[in-house]
Amino acid sequence: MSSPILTTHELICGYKIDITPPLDLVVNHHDIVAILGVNGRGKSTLLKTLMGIIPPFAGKIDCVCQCGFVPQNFSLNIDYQVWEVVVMGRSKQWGLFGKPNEETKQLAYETLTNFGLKEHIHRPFSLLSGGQKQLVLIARALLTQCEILLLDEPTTALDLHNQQKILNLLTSLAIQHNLTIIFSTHDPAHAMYAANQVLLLQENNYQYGKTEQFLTESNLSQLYHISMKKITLENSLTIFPIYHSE
Amino acid sequence: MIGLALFSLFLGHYSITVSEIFNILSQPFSKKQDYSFIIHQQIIWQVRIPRILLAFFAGASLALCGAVLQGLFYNPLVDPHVIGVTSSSAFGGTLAILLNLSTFGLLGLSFSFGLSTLLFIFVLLKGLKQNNLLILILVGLILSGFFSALVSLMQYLADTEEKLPSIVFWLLGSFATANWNKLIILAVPTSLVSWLLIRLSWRINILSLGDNEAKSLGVSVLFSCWLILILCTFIISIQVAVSGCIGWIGLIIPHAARLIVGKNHQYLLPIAFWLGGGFMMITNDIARLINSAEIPIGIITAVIGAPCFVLLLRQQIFSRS
Repeated sequence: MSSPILTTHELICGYKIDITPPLDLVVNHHDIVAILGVNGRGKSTLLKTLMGIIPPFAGKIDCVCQCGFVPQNFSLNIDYQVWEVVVMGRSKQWGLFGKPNEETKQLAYETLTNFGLKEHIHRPFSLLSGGQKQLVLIARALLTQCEILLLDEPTTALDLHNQQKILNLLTSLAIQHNLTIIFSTHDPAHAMYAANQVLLLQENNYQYGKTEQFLTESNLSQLYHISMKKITLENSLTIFPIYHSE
Repeated sequence: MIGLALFSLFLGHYSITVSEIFNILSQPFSKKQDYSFIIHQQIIWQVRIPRILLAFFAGASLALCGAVLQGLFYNPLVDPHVIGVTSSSAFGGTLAILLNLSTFGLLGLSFSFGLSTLLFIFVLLKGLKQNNLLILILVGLILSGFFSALVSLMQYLADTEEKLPSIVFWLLGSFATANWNKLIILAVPTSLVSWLLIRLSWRINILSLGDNEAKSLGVSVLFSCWLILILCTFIISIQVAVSGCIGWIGLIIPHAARLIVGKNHQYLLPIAFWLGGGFMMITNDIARLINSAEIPIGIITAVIGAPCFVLLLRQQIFSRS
Protein backbone atom coordinates (compact mmCIF):
# COMPACT_ATOMS: atom_id res chain seq x y z
CA MET A 1 0.00 0.00 0.00
CA SER A 2 1.29 3.51 -0.92
CA SER A 3 2.14 6.00 1.80
CA PRO A 4 0.93 9.63 1.89
CA ILE A 5 3.24 12.21 0.32
CA LEU A 6 0.99 15.23 0.74
CA THR A 7 -1.91 15.86 3.09
CA THR A 8 -4.06 18.92 3.62
CA HIS A 9 -6.00 19.75 6.76
CA GLU A 10 -9.06 21.96 6.37
CA LEU A 11 -7.17 23.77 3.63
CA ILE A 12 -8.98 26.77 2.20
CA CYS A 13 -7.41 28.51 -0.78
CA GLY A 14 -7.96 32.06 -1.94
CA TYR A 15 -6.29 35.46 -2.29
CA LYS A 16 -8.48 37.84 -0.35
CA ILE A 17 -11.63 35.74 -0.12
CA ASP A 18 -11.94 31.99 0.30
CA ILE A 19 -12.40 30.29 -3.05
CA THR A 20 -12.27 26.59 -2.25
CA PRO A 21 -14.20 24.72 0.43
CA PRO A 22 -12.09 23.36 3.35
CA LEU A 23 -10.14 20.47 1.81
CA ASP A 24 -8.90 17.37 3.64
CA LEU A 25 -6.87 15.55 1.02
CA VAL A 26 -4.44 12.65 1.24
CA VAL A 27 -2.26 12.21 -1.82
CA ASN A 28 -0.19 9.03 -1.88
CA HIS A 29 3.15 8.35 -3.56
CA HIS A 30 2.78 7.78 -7.32
CA ASP A 31 -0.83 8.96 -7.39
CA ILE A 32 -1.98 10.88 -10.43
CA VAL A 33 -4.65 13.30 -9.25
CA ALA A 34 -6.90 15.25 -11.62
CA ILE A 35 -8.64 18.38 -10.33
CA LEU A 36 -11.91 19.25 -12.04
CA GLY A 37 -14.30 22.12 -11.54
CA VAL A 38 -15.92 24.99 -13.38
CA ASN A 39 -14.05 28.25 -14.02
CA GLY A 40 -13.33 30.24 -10.88
CA ARG A 41 -13.76 27.31 -8.53
CA GLY A 42 -10.11 27.50 -7.42
CA LYS A 43 -8.25 24.83 -9.38
CA SER A 44 -5.27 27.07 -10.21
CA THR A 45 -5.40 28.71 -6.77
CA LEU A 46 -5.25 25.30 -5.11
CA LEU A 47 -2.23 24.29 -7.21
CA LYS A 48 -0.45 27.58 -6.46
CA THR A 49 -1.19 27.13 -2.76
CA LEU A 50 0.19 23.59 -2.79
CA MET A 51 3.28 24.96 -4.58
CA GLY A 52 3.75 27.69 -1.96
CA ILE A 53 3.30 30.53 -4.45
CA ILE A 54 0.39 31.90 -2.43
CA PRO A 55 -0.16 31.21 1.28
CA PRO A 56 -3.17 29.14 2.41
CA PHE A 57 -6.24 31.24 3.26
CA ALA A 58 -6.82 28.84 6.15
CA GLY A 59 -5.78 25.35 7.19
CA LYS A 60 -2.44 23.71 6.56
CA ILE A 61 -0.47 21.55 4.18
CA ASP A 62 1.84 18.73 5.23
CA CYS A 63 4.39 18.04 2.53
CA VAL A 64 8.05 17.43 3.15
CA CYS A 65 9.13 16.88 -0.41
CA GLN A 66 10.08 19.14 -3.30
CA CYS A 67 7.27 20.24 -5.64
CA GLY A 68 7.71 21.25 -9.27
CA PHE A 69 5.20 23.54 -10.96
CA VAL A 70 4.15 23.77 -14.60
CA PRO A 71 2.07 26.93 -15.18
CA GLN A 72 -0.42 27.49 -17.98
CA ASN A 73 1.99 28.07 -20.85
CA PHE A 74 -0.24 30.43 -22.86
CA SER A 75 -0.13 32.95 -20.02
CA LEU A 76 3.66 33.13 -20.04
CA ASN A 77 5.80 35.74 -21.74
CA ILE A 78 9.26 34.22 -21.73
CA ASP A 79 11.92 35.68 -24.01
CA TYR A 80 14.78 33.30 -23.26
CA GLN A 81 16.14 30.41 -25.27
CA VAL A 82 14.71 26.96 -24.56
CA TRP A 83 17.81 25.64 -22.74
CA GLU A 84 17.94 28.80 -20.60
CA VAL A 85 14.33 28.24 -19.52
CA VAL A 86 15.02 24.61 -18.62
CA VAL A 87 18.20 25.22 -16.58
CA MET A 88 16.23 27.67 -14.41
CA GLY A 89 14.71 24.58 -12.83
CA ARG A 90 17.97 24.15 -10.94
CA SER A 91 18.07 27.72 -9.62
CA LYS A 92 17.74 26.62 -5.99
CA GLN A 93 21.09 24.86 -6.26
CA TRP A 94 23.02 27.86 -7.61
CA GLY A 95 22.30 30.13 -4.69
CA LEU A 96 22.01 33.89 -4.97
CA PHE A 97 25.11 34.67 -7.00
CA GLY A 98 25.46 31.39 -8.88
CA LYS A 99 24.83 30.33 -12.45
CA PRO A 100 24.10 27.00 -14.16
CA ASN A 101 27.17 24.79 -14.47
CA GLU A 102 28.07 22.46 -17.34
CA GLU A 103 26.45 19.49 -15.61
CA THR A 104 23.11 21.33 -15.37
CA LYS A 105 23.30 22.40 -19.01
CA GLN A 106 24.06 18.81 -20.02
CA LEU A 107 21.11 17.55 -18.01
CA ALA A 108 18.84 20.15 -19.64
CA TYR A 109 20.06 19.10 -23.11
CA GLU A 110 19.47 15.41 -22.28
CA THR A 111 15.96 16.03 -20.94
CA LEU A 112 15.05 18.14 -23.96
CA THR A 113 16.48 15.48 -26.30
CA ASN A 114 14.41 12.80 -24.52
CA PHE A 115 11.34 14.97 -25.05
CA GLY A 116 12.10 15.22 -28.79
CA LEU A 117 13.12 18.88 -28.64
CA LYS A 118 16.81 18.53 -29.56
CA GLU A 119 16.60 20.83 -32.58
CA HIS A 120 14.81 23.52 -30.54
CA ILE A 121 17.36 23.80 -27.72
CA HIS A 122 18.69 27.17 -28.88
CA ARG A 123 15.41 28.56 -30.21
CA PRO A 124 13.55 31.33 -28.34
CA PHE A 125 10.85 29.83 -26.10
CA SER A 126 8.31 32.33 -27.43
CA LEU A 127 8.60 30.89 -30.96
CA LEU A 128 7.65 27.33 -29.93
CA SER A 129 4.22 25.80 -30.45
CA GLY A 130 1.89 25.31 -27.47
CA GLY A 131 2.73 21.60 -27.18
CA GLN A 132 6.48 22.26 -27.34
CA LYS A 133 6.19 24.98 -24.70
CA GLN A 134 4.38 22.57 -22.42
CA LEU A 135 7.14 19.98 -22.85
CA VAL A 136 9.81 22.60 -22.09
CA LEU A 137 8.01 23.65 -18.91
CA ILE A 138 7.68 20.02 -17.81
CA ALA A 139 11.41 19.55 -18.50
CA ARG A 140 12.12 22.62 -16.35
CA ALA A 141 9.97 21.26 -13.52
CA LEU A 142 11.80 17.91 -13.71
CA LEU A 143 15.13 19.68 -13.25
CA THR A 144 13.93 20.88 -9.85
CA GLN A 145 14.29 17.21 -8.79
CA CYS A 146 10.72 17.32 -7.57
CA GLU A 147 8.78 14.39 -6.18
CA ILE A 148 5.42 16.01 -6.81
CA LEU A 149 4.67 17.58 -10.17
CA LEU A 150 1.86 20.14 -10.18
CA LEU A 151 0.47 21.11 -13.58
CA ASP A 152 -2.06 23.86 -14.22
CA GLU A 153 -4.24 22.79 -17.17
CA PRO A 154 -1.39 21.11 -19.07
CA THR A 155 -3.59 20.21 -22.05
CA THR A 156 -5.45 23.48 -22.48
CA ALA A 157 -4.90 25.18 -25.85
CA LEU A 158 -3.26 22.06 -27.31
CA ASP A 159 -4.42 20.08 -30.33
CA LEU A 160 -5.69 16.52 -29.83
CA HIS A 161 -2.37 14.90 -30.78
CA ASN A 162 -0.44 17.05 -28.30
CA GLN A 163 -3.07 16.48 -25.60
CA GLN A 164 -2.49 12.73 -25.93
CA LYS A 165 1.27 13.24 -25.99
CA ILE A 166 1.22 15.23 -22.74
CA LEU A 167 -1.14 12.77 -20.99
CA ASN A 168 1.05 9.82 -22.01
CA LEU A 169 4.13 11.70 -20.83
CA LEU A 170 2.53 12.33 -17.43
CA THR A 171 1.67 8.67 -16.93
CA SER A 172 5.14 7.55 -18.00
CA LEU A 173 6.81 10.17 -15.75
CA ALA A 174 4.84 8.87 -12.78
CA ILE A 175 6.26 5.41 -13.41
CA GLN A 176 9.79 6.15 -14.67
CA HIS A 177 10.61 9.09 -12.36
CA ASN A 178 8.54 7.85 -9.39
CA LEU A 179 6.58 11.09 -9.49
CA THR A 180 3.31 12.00 -7.88
CA ILE A 181 1.32 14.14 -10.29
CA ILE A 182 -1.48 16.60 -9.59
CA PHE A 183 -3.00 18.38 -12.57
CA SER A 184 -6.06 20.49 -13.25
CA THR A 185 -8.16 19.96 -16.34
CA HIS A 186 -11.46 20.91 -17.92
CA ASP A 187 -11.76 17.60 -19.74
CA PRO A 188 -13.14 14.67 -17.69
CA ALA A 189 -11.91 12.29 -20.40
CA HIS A 190 -8.35 13.34 -19.59
CA ALA A 191 -8.94 12.64 -15.92
CA MET A 192 -10.40 9.26 -16.77
CA TYR A 193 -7.47 8.43 -19.07
CA ALA A 194 -4.56 9.51 -16.88
CA ALA A 195 -5.62 9.89 -13.24
CA ASN A 196 -6.22 7.28 -10.55
CA GLN A 197 -7.66 9.92 -8.16
CA VAL A 198 -9.97 12.83 -8.89
CA LEU A 199 -10.86 15.96 -6.96
CA LEU A 200 -14.19 17.48 -7.97
CA LEU A 201 -14.36 21.08 -6.73
CA GLN A 202 -17.88 22.40 -6.21
CA GLU A 203 -19.09 25.65 -4.75
CA ASN A 204 -19.41 24.65 -1.12
CA ASN A 205 -18.15 21.10 -1.07
CA TYR A 206 -15.88 18.70 -2.88
CA GLN A 207 -15.49 15.06 -3.73
CA TYR A 208 -12.14 13.30 -3.65
CA GLY A 209 -11.34 9.67 -4.30
CA LYS A 210 -10.72 6.97 -6.85
CA THR A 211 -11.42 7.91 -10.45
CA GLU A 212 -13.67 4.96 -11.24
CA GLN A 213 -15.71 5.64 -8.12
CA PHE A 214 -16.12 9.43 -8.36
CA LEU A 215 -15.90 10.25 -12.05
CA THR A 216 -19.48 9.25 -12.72
CA GLU A 217 -22.04 10.68 -15.09
CA SER A 218 -24.17 12.01 -12.22
CA ASN A 219 -21.23 13.65 -10.36
CA LEU A 220 -20.01 15.36 -13.48
CA SER A 221 -23.51 16.43 -14.55
CA GLN A 222 -23.91 18.00 -11.13
CA LEU A 223 -20.48 19.63 -11.40
CA TYR A 224 -20.84 21.13 -14.88
CA HIS A 225 -24.67 21.37 -15.13
CA ILE A 226 -24.55 19.48 -18.39
CA SER A 227 -25.45 15.89 -19.35
CA MET A 228 -22.47 13.53 -19.48
CA LYS A 229 -22.18 10.10 -21.06
CA LYS A 230 -19.70 7.42 -20.03
CA ILE A 231 -19.01 4.76 -22.67
CA THR A 232 -16.47 2.10 -23.55
CA LEU A 233 -14.87 2.54 -26.97
CA GLU A 234 -12.27 0.06 -28.26
CA ASN A 235 -11.74 -1.33 -24.73
CA SER A 236 -11.15 2.15 -23.38
CA LEU A 237 -13.53 3.87 -20.97
CA THR A 238 -14.22 7.51 -21.77
CA ILE A 239 -16.68 10.23 -20.87
CA PHE A 240 -17.96 13.14 -22.89
CA PRO A 241 -20.60 15.88 -22.69
CA ILE A 242 -23.89 15.83 -24.55
CA TYR A 243 -24.63 19.34 -25.78
CA HIS A 244 -28.20 20.61 -26.06
CA SER A 245 -29.30 23.87 -27.64
CA GLU A 246 -31.02 26.11 -25.07
CA MET B 1 37.24 50.77 -25.16
CA ILE B 2 40.90 51.59 -24.50
CA GLY B 3 41.15 52.95 -28.06
CA LEU B 4 38.11 55.16 -27.46
CA ALA B 5 39.59 56.39 -24.18
CA LEU B 6 42.92 57.20 -25.89
CA PHE B 7 41.08 58.96 -28.69
CA SER B 8 39.12 60.98 -26.12
CA LEU B 9 42.43 61.94 -24.45
CA PHE B 10 43.56 63.39 -27.74
CA LEU B 11 40.42 65.55 -28.09
CA GLY B 12 40.11 68.93 -26.40
CA HIS B 13 40.36 72.66 -26.91
CA TYR B 14 43.98 72.57 -25.86
CA SER B 15 45.85 70.79 -28.65
CA ILE B 16 48.23 68.00 -27.59
CA THR B 17 49.84 65.69 -30.16
CA VAL B 18 49.46 61.90 -30.03
CA SER B 19 53.18 61.37 -29.45
CA GLU B 20 53.08 63.81 -26.52
CA ILE B 21 50.12 61.99 -25.02
CA PHE B 22 51.94 58.63 -25.21
CA ASN B 23 55.04 60.28 -23.84
CA ILE B 24 53.10 61.70 -20.86
CA LEU B 25 51.26 58.43 -20.25
CA SER B 26 54.47 56.39 -20.31
CA GLN B 27 56.21 58.75 -17.84
CA PRO B 28 53.55 59.60 -15.26
CA PHE B 29 56.06 60.70 -12.62
CA SER B 30 58.43 62.53 -14.95
CA LYS B 31 59.79 65.79 -13.47
CA LYS B 32 60.87 67.49 -16.71
CA GLN B 33 61.43 71.22 -16.40
CA ASP B 34 59.94 71.91 -19.81
CA TYR B 35 57.03 74.32 -19.15
CA SER B 36 54.81 73.06 -21.99
CA PHE B 37 55.40 69.43 -20.91
CA ILE B 38 54.30 70.31 -17.35
CA ILE B 39 51.16 72.02 -18.67
CA HIS B 40 50.35 69.07 -20.93
CA GLN B 41 51.03 66.62 -18.09
CA GLN B 42 48.64 68.57 -15.87
CA ILE B 43 45.95 68.62 -18.56
CA ILE B 44 46.24 64.90 -19.26
CA TRP B 45 46.55 63.62 -15.67
CA GLN B 46 44.48 66.15 -13.75
CA VAL B 47 41.77 67.06 -16.26
CA ARG B 48 41.27 64.66 -19.15
CA ILE B 49 41.92 61.25 -17.55
CA PRO B 50 39.66 61.78 -14.49
CA ARG B 51 37.01 63.29 -16.72
CA ILE B 52 37.05 60.45 -19.27
CA LEU B 53 37.02 57.77 -16.56
CA LEU B 54 34.29 59.58 -14.64
CA ALA B 55 32.18 59.69 -17.82
CA PHE B 56 32.85 55.99 -18.39
CA PHE B 57 31.81 54.92 -14.90
CA ALA B 58 28.74 57.21 -14.87
CA GLY B 59 27.54 55.83 -18.22
CA ALA B 60 28.35 52.25 -17.26
CA SER B 61 26.49 52.47 -13.96
CA LEU B 62 23.39 54.08 -15.50
CA ALA B 63 23.20 51.56 -18.35
CA LEU B 64 23.80 48.61 -16.05
CA CYS B 65 21.13 49.76 -13.59
CA GLY B 66 18.73 50.39 -16.47
CA ALA B 67 19.22 46.84 -17.77
CA VAL B 68 18.86 45.38 -14.27
CA LEU B 69 15.69 47.36 -13.44
CA GLN B 70 14.09 46.60 -16.82
CA GLY B 71 14.60 42.90 -16.06
CA LEU B 72 13.47 43.20 -12.47
CA PHE B 73 10.24 45.03 -13.34
CA TYR B 74 9.83 43.00 -16.59
CA ASN B 75 9.21 46.31 -18.33
CA PRO B 76 11.46 47.65 -21.11
CA LEU B 77 10.40 51.26 -20.43
CA VAL B 78 11.81 51.37 -16.93
CA ASP B 79 14.99 53.33 -16.27
CA PRO B 80 16.85 54.30 -13.09
CA HIS B 81 14.60 57.37 -12.62
CA VAL B 82 11.56 55.21 -11.99
CA ILE B 83 12.33 54.28 -8.39
CA GLY B 84 12.49 57.96 -7.42
CA VAL B 85 16.15 57.85 -6.40
CA THR B 86 17.41 60.17 -9.14
CA SER B 87 14.98 62.98 -8.26
CA SER B 88 15.60 62.71 -4.53
CA SER B 89 19.38 62.73 -5.06
CA ALA B 90 18.93 65.73 -7.32
CA PHE B 91 16.99 67.47 -4.56
CA GLY B 92 19.80 66.71 -2.09
CA GLY B 93 22.31 68.18 -4.53
CA THR B 94 20.34 71.35 -5.23
CA LEU B 95 19.76 71.84 -1.51
CA ALA B 96 23.52 71.57 -0.95
CA ILE B 97 24.21 74.18 -3.64
CA LEU B 98 21.57 76.48 -2.16
CA LEU B 99 23.05 76.07 1.33
CA ASN B 100 26.53 76.81 -0.01
CA LEU B 101 27.88 73.43 1.12
CA SER B 102 31.25 72.13 -0.09
CA THR B 103 31.60 69.49 -2.83
CA PHE B 104 31.67 66.77 -0.18
CA GLY B 105 28.54 68.28 1.40
CA LEU B 106 26.83 68.06 -2.00
CA LEU B 107 27.94 64.46 -2.46
CA GLY B 108 26.86 63.48 1.03
CA LEU B 109 23.45 65.17 0.88
CA SER B 110 22.68 63.89 -2.60
CA PHE B 111 23.69 60.33 -1.67
CA SER B 112 21.82 60.31 1.64
CA PHE B 113 18.61 61.62 0.04
CA GLY B 114 18.83 58.87 -2.60
CA LEU B 115 19.26 56.11 -0.05
CA SER B 116 16.65 57.47 2.37
CA THR B 117 14.09 57.55 -0.45
CA LEU B 118 14.52 53.84 -1.00
CA LEU B 119 14.29 53.30 2.76
CA PHE B 120 11.09 55.36 2.81
CA ILE B 121 9.61 53.28 -0.04
CA PHE B 122 10.54 50.10 1.84
CA VAL B 123 8.90 51.29 5.09
CA LEU B 124 5.82 52.53 3.23
CA LEU B 125 5.31 49.23 1.39
CA LYS B 126 5.87 47.33 4.60
CA GLY B 127 3.25 49.54 6.31
CA LEU B 128 0.80 49.02 3.47
CA LYS B 129 1.57 45.27 3.55
CA GLN B 130 2.33 45.39 -0.16
CA ASN B 131 5.07 43.49 -1.96
CA ASN B 132 3.86 44.16 -5.45
CA LEU B 133 6.47 45.58 -7.84
CA LEU B 134 3.82 47.66 -9.62
CA ILE B 135 3.03 49.44 -6.34
CA LEU B 136 6.74 50.05 -5.91
CA ILE B 137 6.94 51.68 -9.36
CA LEU B 138 3.89 53.83 -8.56
CA VAL B 139 5.34 54.95 -5.23
CA GLY B 140 8.65 55.64 -7.00
CA LEU B 141 6.91 57.78 -9.63
CA ILE B 142 4.97 59.70 -6.96
CA LEU B 143 8.17 60.41 -5.02
CA SER B 144 9.91 61.33 -8.26
CA GLY B 145 7.20 63.93 -8.96
CA PHE B 146 7.35 65.18 -5.38
CA PHE B 147 11.13 65.67 -5.38
CA SER B 148 11.03 67.22 -8.88
CA ALA B 149 8.64 69.82 -7.45
CA LEU B 150 11.04 70.43 -4.55
CA VAL B 151 13.92 70.83 -7.01
CA SER B 152 11.83 73.43 -8.87
CA LEU B 153 11.21 75.19 -5.55
CA MET B 154 14.96 75.27 -4.88
CA GLN B 155 15.49 76.78 -8.34
CA TYR B 156 12.77 79.34 -7.65
CA LEU B 157 14.42 80.31 -4.35
CA ALA B 158 17.96 80.38 -5.74
CA ASP B 159 19.84 83.58 -6.45
CA THR B 160 19.56 84.09 -10.23
CA GLU B 161 23.06 85.50 -10.65
CA GLU B 162 25.13 82.80 -9.04
CA LYS B 163 23.31 79.79 -7.62
CA LEU B 164 20.60 79.23 -10.20
CA PRO B 165 23.10 78.72 -13.07
CA SER B 166 25.10 76.32 -10.85
CA ILE B 167 21.98 74.34 -9.97
CA VAL B 168 20.78 74.17 -13.59
CA PHE B 169 24.23 73.14 -14.87
CA TRP B 170 24.60 70.47 -12.20
CA LEU B 171 21.05 69.16 -12.76
CA LEU B 172 21.60 68.76 -16.48
CA GLY B 173 24.66 66.64 -15.84
CA SER B 174 28.29 67.54 -16.33
CA PHE B 175 31.79 66.14 -15.93
CA ALA B 176 33.37 69.60 -16.03
CA THR B 177 34.36 69.45 -12.37
CA ALA B 178 35.83 65.95 -12.62
CA ASN B 179 38.84 65.22 -10.44
CA TRP B 180 40.52 62.18 -8.91
CA ASN B 181 38.51 62.42 -5.70
CA LYS B 182 35.20 62.31 -7.53
CA LEU B 183 36.49 59.53 -9.74
CA ILE B 184 37.43 57.38 -6.76
CA ILE B 185 34.09 58.11 -5.06
CA LEU B 186 32.26 56.88 -8.16
CA ALA B 187 34.60 54.23 -9.55
CA VAL B 188 35.19 52.10 -6.45
CA PRO B 189 31.54 51.49 -5.48
CA THR B 190 30.46 51.27 -9.12
CA SER B 191 33.04 48.56 -9.85
CA LEU B 192 32.14 46.58 -6.75
CA VAL B 193 28.35 46.88 -7.12
CA SER B 194 28.49 46.22 -10.88
CA TRP B 195 30.43 43.05 -10.20
CA LEU B 196 27.77 41.95 -7.70
CA LEU B 197 24.91 42.82 -10.07
CA ILE B 198 26.56 40.87 -12.91
CA ARG B 199 26.98 37.92 -10.53
CA LEU B 200 23.21 38.20 -9.85
CA SER B 201 22.40 37.94 -13.56
CA TRP B 202 20.77 34.49 -13.42
CA ARG B 203 18.72 35.54 -10.42
CA ILE B 204 17.56 38.55 -12.48
CA ASN B 205 16.74 36.18 -15.37
CA ILE B 206 14.40 34.28 -13.08
CA LEU B 207 12.89 37.40 -11.51
CA SER B 208 12.16 38.76 -15.00
CA LEU B 209 9.72 35.86 -15.52
CA GLY B 210 7.37 37.36 -12.94
CA ASP B 211 6.74 36.83 -9.23
CA ASN B 212 4.76 33.60 -9.48
CA GLU B 213 7.21 31.95 -11.85
CA ALA B 214 10.16 32.94 -9.67
CA LYS B 215 8.43 31.67 -6.53
CA SER B 216 7.58 28.39 -8.24
CA LEU B 217 11.31 27.97 -8.97
CA GLY B 218 12.11 28.36 -5.28
CA VAL B 219 13.47 31.91 -5.47
CA SER B 220 12.94 34.29 -2.56
CA VAL B 221 11.44 37.11 -4.62
CA LEU B 222 11.16 39.80 -1.98
CA PHE B 223 14.70 39.41 -0.65
CA SER B 224 16.23 39.27 -4.13
CA CYS B 225 14.29 42.33 -5.34
CA TRP B 226 15.26 44.48 -2.38
CA LEU B 227 18.90 43.43 -2.56
CA ILE B 228 19.01 44.40 -6.23
CA LEU B 229 17.17 47.68 -5.59
CA ILE B 230 19.57 48.62 -2.79
CA LEU B 231 22.58 47.90 -5.01
CA CYS B 232 21.11 49.97 -7.86
CA THR B 233 20.15 52.83 -5.55
CA PHE B 234 23.65 52.86 -4.13
CA ILE B 235 25.36 53.51 -7.45
CA ILE B 236 22.62 55.69 -8.97
CA SER B 237 22.71 58.09 -6.02
CA ILE B 238 26.52 58.25 -6.15
CA GLN B 239 26.39 58.87 -9.90
CA VAL B 240 23.86 61.71 -9.45
CA ALA B 241 25.97 63.14 -6.64
CA VAL B 242 29.17 63.33 -8.72
CA SER B 243 27.80 64.16 -12.16
CA GLY B 244 24.17 65.29 -11.88
CA CYS B 245 21.03 63.92 -13.51
CA ILE B 246 21.75 62.27 -16.84
CA GLY B 247 18.74 60.81 -18.60
CA TRP B 248 18.24 58.37 -21.47
CA ILE B 249 21.41 56.29 -21.01
CA GLY B 250 19.64 53.93 -18.60
CA LEU B 251 16.80 53.54 -21.08
CA ILE B 252 18.40 53.22 -24.52
CA ILE B 253 21.67 51.41 -23.84
CA PRO B 254 19.97 48.27 -22.40
CA HIS B 255 17.83 48.11 -25.57
CA ALA B 256 20.91 48.40 -27.78
CA ALA B 257 22.71 45.74 -25.72
CA ARG B 258 19.68 43.45 -26.00
CA LEU B 259 19.82 43.72 -29.78
CA ILE B 260 23.47 42.63 -29.71
CA VAL B 261 23.43 39.74 -27.22
CA GLY B 262 19.79 38.88 -26.55
CA LYS B 263 17.87 38.89 -23.30
CA ASN B 264 19.93 36.62 -21.05
CA HIS B 265 21.21 38.96 -18.33
CA GLN B 266 24.42 36.91 -18.03
CA TYR B 267 25.52 38.45 -21.34
CA LEU B 268 23.29 41.53 -21.35
CA LEU B 269 24.59 43.13 -18.16
CA PRO B 270 28.33 43.17 -19.01
CA ILE B 271 27.56 44.44 -22.53
CA ALA B 272 25.25 47.17 -21.17
CA PHE B 273 28.01 48.17 -18.71
CA TRP B 274 30.70 48.57 -21.39
CA LEU B 275 28.34 50.05 -23.99
CA GLY B 276 27.00 52.59 -21.49
CA GLY B 277 30.53 53.60 -20.51
CA GLY B 278 31.60 53.93 -24.16
CA PHE B 279 28.50 55.90 -25.11
CA MET B 280 29.02 58.32 -22.24
CA MET B 281 32.69 58.85 -23.22
CA ILE B 282 31.54 59.83 -26.73
CA THR B 283 28.82 62.08 -25.29
CA ASN B 284 31.41 63.67 -23.03
CA ASP B 285 33.66 64.34 -26.06
CA ILE B 286 30.75 65.98 -27.88
CA ALA B 287 29.91 68.09 -24.81
CA ARG B 288 33.48 69.33 -24.64
CA LEU B 289 34.04 69.99 -28.31
CA ILE B 290 30.79 71.05 -29.95
CA ASN B 291 30.98 74.55 -28.54
CA SER B 292 33.57 76.71 -26.81
CA ALA B 293 31.23 76.82 -23.78
CA GLU B 294 30.52 73.34 -22.47
CA ILE B 295 27.06 71.90 -23.17
CA PRO B 296 25.44 69.95 -20.28
CA ILE B 297 25.57 66.17 -20.81
CA GLY B 298 21.84 65.71 -20.15
CA ILE B 299 20.97 67.85 -23.17
CA ILE B 300 23.19 65.80 -25.49
CA THR B 301 21.96 62.43 -24.19
CA ALA B 302 18.37 63.59 -24.69
CA VAL B 303 19.03 64.89 -28.21
CA ILE B 304 20.82 61.67 -29.22
CA GLY B 305 18.73 59.38 -27.03
CA ALA B 306 15.22 60.19 -28.25
CA PRO B 307 15.81 59.40 -31.96
CA CYS B 308 18.03 56.43 -31.04
CA PHE B 309 15.23 55.04 -28.90
CA VAL B 310 12.77 55.30 -31.80
CA LEU B 311 15.26 53.48 -34.07
CA LEU B 312 15.88 50.77 -31.47
CA LEU B 313 12.15 50.24 -30.95
CA ARG B 314 11.68 50.00 -34.73
CA GLN B 315 14.51 47.45 -34.92
CA GLN B 316 13.01 45.40 -32.09
CA ILE B 317 9.53 45.42 -33.65
CA PHE B 318 11.00 44.27 -36.99
CA SER B 319 13.12 41.56 -35.36
CA ARG B 320 9.99 40.22 -33.59
CA SER B 321 7.89 40.15 -36.76
